[in-house]
Amino acid sequence: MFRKALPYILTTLLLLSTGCFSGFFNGALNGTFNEPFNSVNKSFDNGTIFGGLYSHTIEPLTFNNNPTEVRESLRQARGVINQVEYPLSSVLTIRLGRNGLGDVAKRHGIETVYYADIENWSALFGLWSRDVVHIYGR
Amino acid sequence: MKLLVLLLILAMATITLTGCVYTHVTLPYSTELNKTELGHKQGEASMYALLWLFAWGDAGAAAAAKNGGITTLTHMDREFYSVLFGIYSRQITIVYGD
Repeated sequence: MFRKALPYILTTLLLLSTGCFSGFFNGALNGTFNEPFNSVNKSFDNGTIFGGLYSHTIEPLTFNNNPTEVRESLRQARGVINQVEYPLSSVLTIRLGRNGLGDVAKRHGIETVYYADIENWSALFGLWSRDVVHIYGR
Repeated sequence: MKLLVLLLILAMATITLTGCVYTHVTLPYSTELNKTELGHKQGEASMYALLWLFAWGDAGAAAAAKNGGITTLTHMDREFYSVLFGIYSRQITIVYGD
């Protein structure tokens, strides 16, 4: 009985884990989103763009209703957090780095922060991941 | 019994996977608008995912602004496109400004 039902169960689990299930639709339709820093350890239920084997994406980190200067002449600073995680348990996670916007900006001589993007690298279903904040300012 | 299991799974899928066969929506990044002038230019940048295994692309605000020739950004939306439970999906950052 269980052996016969196994393909159905696995198929269901696969579909439920694709991101359709919770992440995107939880907040997206009413205009609220996942925390940007969730891209570290991008989980199945993050719901937006997911690449388990290999992922390298960049998306906005900050957004507001004020006019924001985005000239290419702005200074750019980068912070990095590296993470190694045993996929089945977060107990064995090692996470190291600095991505604080103020912290990174200060260390790179930026006094006024205009906006920021977040770059995420991830491989082998989160075994290794890396978040890089790109801060633009003067 | 086999039919019962199948029906149960189909029922679960129907309840939980609404909209996943095909999704194409545009949503705001920020809803705190207050007499916000959008400007005359628009820029886009995309990132993609395939088979839940690979994801790539620069959909950052900087890339979208550069693509649209925007120097002052006033508002951001994002467009999400997905087919067949995310076998292929694309997220586009859309920026507005001058």
